[in-house]
Amino acid sequence: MNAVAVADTDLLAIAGDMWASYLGDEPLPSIPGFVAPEVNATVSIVGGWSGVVVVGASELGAGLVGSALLQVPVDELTSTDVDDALGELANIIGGNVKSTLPGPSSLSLPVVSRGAVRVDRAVLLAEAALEWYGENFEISVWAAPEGEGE
Amino acid sequence: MKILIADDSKVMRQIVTRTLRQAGFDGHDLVEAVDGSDAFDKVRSEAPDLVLSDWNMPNMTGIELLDRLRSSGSTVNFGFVTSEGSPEMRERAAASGALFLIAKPFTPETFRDALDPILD
Repeated sequence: MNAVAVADTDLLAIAGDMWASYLGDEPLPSIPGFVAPEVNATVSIVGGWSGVVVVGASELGAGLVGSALLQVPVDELTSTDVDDALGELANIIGGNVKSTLPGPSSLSLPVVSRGAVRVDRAVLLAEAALEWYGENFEISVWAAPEGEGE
Repeated sequence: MKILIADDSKVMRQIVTRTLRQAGFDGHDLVEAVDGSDAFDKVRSEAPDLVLSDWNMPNMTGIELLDRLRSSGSTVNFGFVTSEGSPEMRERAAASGALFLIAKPFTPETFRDALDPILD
């Protein structure tokens, strides 16, 4: 069921489109795994294909996204604003990834957490990284183990 | 005209507001709802001319909101602004009576194409 492909380049294109639409200055391609994200937003896809999409960033990077999207200075953002902004990135990327995968399936609301995201037994399907204002953003798609979430 | 923007994300409500302005739809009254349930109440209390709704929301999803509005007799103009634009979701939205589905990420041009026939 999960023997489907999402190319790293597709993921980079989806993220690039979103950046261009909402965040203005274009990001540069970066290297996945270069920096460990401090904050992660995760959305789950369950159905014809099941797995998770994770968007990770440094605290500063997440704050810069919040500042750009809400158009307020970083030091005026609440932690709720920052989580909302990174969660919305995961929602948009997750929705676009979902549209390329076998359906029908449903997309969860985003969950934002600090520290490493555990994806035990999940299989890395695609990953991409972007650099924006000197901060690294990691995007990854993980497939659930066979028979789970279906 | 009055437009109700329903999205659980404050960030996305602001992006929608900004995009309406960039698309040239200035001067309309904007009202916000934080989920589908809040939007249902505000369609009653605010009587908007158009609802722009997210699909995935807590308490009541956008499609549940639309179905509930229609079954309660409301004929308010309704369109989705959502991260998912698959053919299945577009069909589901149209079958329930949505006028359009704008997929994120969107541009001011996308808004103009969808909203010009309604707001002009």
